[in-house]
Amino acid sequence: MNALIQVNNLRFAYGDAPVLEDISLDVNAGEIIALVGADGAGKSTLLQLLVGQLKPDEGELRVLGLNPTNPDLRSDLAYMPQGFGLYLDLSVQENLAFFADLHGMDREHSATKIRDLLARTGLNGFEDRRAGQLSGGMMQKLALACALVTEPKVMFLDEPTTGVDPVSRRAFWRLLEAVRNDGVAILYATANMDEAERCDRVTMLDQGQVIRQDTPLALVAETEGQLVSVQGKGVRGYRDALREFPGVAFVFPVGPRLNVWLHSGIRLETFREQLASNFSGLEVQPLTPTLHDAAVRQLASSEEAGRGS
Amino acid sequence: MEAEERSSQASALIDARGLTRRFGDFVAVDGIDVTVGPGEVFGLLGANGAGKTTAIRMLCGTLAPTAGSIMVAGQDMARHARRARGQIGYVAQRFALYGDLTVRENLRLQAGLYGLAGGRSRERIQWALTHLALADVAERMAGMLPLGYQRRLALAAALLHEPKVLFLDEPTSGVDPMARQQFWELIYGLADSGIAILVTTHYMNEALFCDRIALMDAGRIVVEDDPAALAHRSLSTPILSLKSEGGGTLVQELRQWPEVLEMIPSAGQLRIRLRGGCDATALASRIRGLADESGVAPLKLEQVDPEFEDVVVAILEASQQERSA
Repeated sequence: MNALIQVNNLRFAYGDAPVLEDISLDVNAGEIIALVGADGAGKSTLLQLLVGQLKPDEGELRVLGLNPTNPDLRSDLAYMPQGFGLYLDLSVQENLAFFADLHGMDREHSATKIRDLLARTGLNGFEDRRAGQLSGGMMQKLALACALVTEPKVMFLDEPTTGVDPVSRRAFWRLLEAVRNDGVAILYATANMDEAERCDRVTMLDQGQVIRQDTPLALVAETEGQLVSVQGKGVRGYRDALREFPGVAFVFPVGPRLNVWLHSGIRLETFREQLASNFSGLEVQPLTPTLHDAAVRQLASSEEAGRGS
Repeated sequence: MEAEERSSQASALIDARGLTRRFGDFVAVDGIDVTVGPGEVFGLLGANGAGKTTAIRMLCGTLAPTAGSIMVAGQDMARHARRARGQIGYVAQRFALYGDLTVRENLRLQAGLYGLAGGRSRERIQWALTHLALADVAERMAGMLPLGYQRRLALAAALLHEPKVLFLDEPTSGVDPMARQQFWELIYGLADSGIAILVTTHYMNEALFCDRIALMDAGRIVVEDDPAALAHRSLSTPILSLKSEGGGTLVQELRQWPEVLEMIPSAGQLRIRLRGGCDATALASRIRGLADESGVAPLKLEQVDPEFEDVVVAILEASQQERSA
């Protein structure tokens, strides 16, 4: 089966400044692929290329097998830009109707679809409220509903949960997973590793280049060494001492504990005993690393390698 | 115990009592107490509209409370607003920097706004460049720097007048995980020097960096605790952790079960959050039965402690449901 979104050896530059270099990725039906990276890594630019707002300098882009600028794609492709792109002076109902009209849907079909989306997103009861008067979480649901009006086959979402609280974010993900189960291919840009962990595969961008690409599980499993937590009263004060401690690769203070990465081959028991004979009152527990932990570990070692060379 | 509590409150750098703000009939902040001691990092979390921003505006002295008292570093905000505000550094989420000025020029401008002059100004700018690792980029245009640097510059600017209290609004949203870790190292360095720090955030992996957090809903603080203790609270919505090879169809099936509230991939496991009041043990054996039927093995399935975000979400959801009931 062909991927619904395909990017091959893409290069894009503003003048002489390269923004994206040698990017390849694909997204199959029913998959959510995370596009992860800091602000300025090139995530938004890649999405704009995939929705035909920008043209690549080199490489090939295919959405449902077509060039992204092909007008036939319009109703099959949904794009949720940063800041949602809603009409704040229009009501919830008017925003949805506007998107349906824009894509030339017939009124009867769109009315049914809009009713269904209002129910699914929990926006029923708020049809007449102006979009500008909605809370952040509801605005985000409305933006998603607008994107879904045309029943798209592919979706491009640009940091859709920025500024949205954890309860609304979970509700948003429940909706998104239902959309994935309907077979939609979703490319999801985010700076947040918690969200990337919910995706089927992750593409990590750094300064316009792909640095890692794999499932969240594989990305975590490939990480070198073991992660432990060290806790105890005033433990933060021990961070520099622990950085010099035998067997320790990295120390990251996280609130009332230290996340300590041991070098591979160091046994937890050995570390625990050595720590106890040097410092009192510190407790060591193994931790299962999250994707966030693994990413920090990876970036720290590339930084160290960069300094060493 | 009581004496100890009183003395810790006496030394608190932020000490707000019964803080309340009404806008007409609407109570945005409803009698909250906030105390943050020297060297402490305190996180304020909550849904949009829960009252966080209004609370911060009052604590910074830019909005007068309808009721309640605010002491900042021993200064009464109501009586000596100017003196109290002089003890505060504030870094907004959309911080204002001059993109076409250099890092040093931005700091010089900010120092002037704080009334620092001559040798004192030069000394503080040098301190800021060194401590916030900005010395290498001092002569670069602020607008051309990566976001991580811009955030450090905004933090540097907020520290020039040596505040005793620092407010940070979503300080690390949008930066990569390593930049976030480095930013927090700086924050801990400031905390070690005795500054009291108050952070607002929507991100759980940022909230985890705080020593103590408060969850706000509808203008009230519903829970206050340290993140580790919060994560050990028992939930009415039990969580099963599932690890299986080739369990794709199993997962599709489980999504349809009414008892399953949501399924969250995390650290290579699938965490299955069940509806309130579900018998987790009974459900686990039903899942094992289903796995046997569909020939999925090996299967690791157990009830696990909730994660920090599970607890936060559950508390806020419960509080919201209580209100709408």
